[in-house]
Amino acid sequence: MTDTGIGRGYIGTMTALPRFDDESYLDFVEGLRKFAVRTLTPASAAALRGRVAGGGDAVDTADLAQVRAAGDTIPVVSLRNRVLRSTQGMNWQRVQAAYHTHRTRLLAELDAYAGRGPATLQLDEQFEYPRYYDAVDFHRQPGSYHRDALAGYIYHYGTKIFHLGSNDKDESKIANANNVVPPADGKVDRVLDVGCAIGGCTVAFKDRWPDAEVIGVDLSAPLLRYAHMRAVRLGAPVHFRQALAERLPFPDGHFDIVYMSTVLHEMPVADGRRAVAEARRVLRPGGVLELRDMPQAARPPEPWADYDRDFDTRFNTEPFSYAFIHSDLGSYLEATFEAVSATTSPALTVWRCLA
Amino acid sequence: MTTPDAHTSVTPIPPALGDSWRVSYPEPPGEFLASHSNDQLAHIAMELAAELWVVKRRLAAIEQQLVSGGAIVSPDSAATTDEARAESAAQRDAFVSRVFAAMLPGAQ
Repeated sequence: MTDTGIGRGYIGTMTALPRFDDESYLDFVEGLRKFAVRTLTPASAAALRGRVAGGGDAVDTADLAQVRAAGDTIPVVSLRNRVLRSTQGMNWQRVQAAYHTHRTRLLAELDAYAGRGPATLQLDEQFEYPRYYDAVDFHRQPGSYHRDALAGYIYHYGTKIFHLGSNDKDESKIANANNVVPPADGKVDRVLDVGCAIGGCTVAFKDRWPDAEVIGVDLSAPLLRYAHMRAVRLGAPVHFRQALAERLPFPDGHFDIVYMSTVLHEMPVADGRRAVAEARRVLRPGGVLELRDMPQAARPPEPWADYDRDFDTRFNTEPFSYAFIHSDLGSYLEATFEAVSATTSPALTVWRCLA
Repeated sequence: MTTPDAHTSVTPIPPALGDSWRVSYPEPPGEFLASHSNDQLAHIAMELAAELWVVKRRLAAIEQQLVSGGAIVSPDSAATTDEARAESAAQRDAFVSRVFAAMLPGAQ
């Protein structure tokens, strides 16, 4: 089968949009989002910290209402918020509209890949999406990850814009997979990618450990169908399966490595705890869970970090992210695993947990 | 080791978060800006309009010459390279910085 996309080829494995003008519109959105993230956000953070530290009306950083009130009235902060909200909507709306002009053809493409190897796909006909997932259009993606059959296409291009073009050819996913520290004994026979989405890291794990069995699980059937198609195109013999992170369909001690990236902040804290416990259960002794997610809040909270996560919860349809950063995940991991280490940058913490 | 029951049903969305977090487009614009910011927005709009007009005039002139020379090719079918994409992205970033600089503290 020779794929031509929908007339304009591919960007990496991503189906190029059918019209040059759609691509140009989203190119502008990407550039404006980059300006908001890399220029307006640092200026906003400095302004809020200055307001908190600079006298005038005192701001109790432990009181979110006071931090909100301070941030929302600073001009550069409110302008940043305006741009982030607008670019998010411009992004999803245009990507969805562009792909849906070729809906029939793209659905036929997904059907044509069903059952093809070397990758496999196992969907659960009886699968019920949990309420916390079904009720939320995460990151304001219309139809979210599971209620639009083209969600995989939309997610792939939309996240290209969201991540500022840094993963057009899976570069960041490959780097993340290559940074995973394997078990001390070096044995890597089975790898599990929890919340694999469209399988970027899943395929990268297979490239890194070609002799290992690599499995990606996710809730979303549309994302998994797209992940399977992508893996077939890449010639990757990986396996995708529809499953809950908090109810993994694998025996105890089955995996050498479990990888879970930016999953927990999209779940209620209690369900996230179950997902971590499941990861621990399916790891063999000496196996490793690598967990990547938003840093936990400082005590007392750092005002900008707290404000920014609250912004995501208020305006970017991430209802659980603020609770997540205040969930003291580190203590739970230390109580659950034999040993835990963590490295933190402003936007990301990587926890390495030894079973 | 803590071992919560992984096989119990998942917890519901906390009631305080509301019943539905679904979105539909087009959406209401929302309110983020105080009146002070509107001055900056007006400036941005003027800068943007100026930039757009420069591009529109230049594009029209180029199209006219391409058509008259019989060399026009639809941009929908234009091939591109990684180098060209990178150069275009750099030009786009400079454009955005120039137009939206008025949002930054201390801008005129």
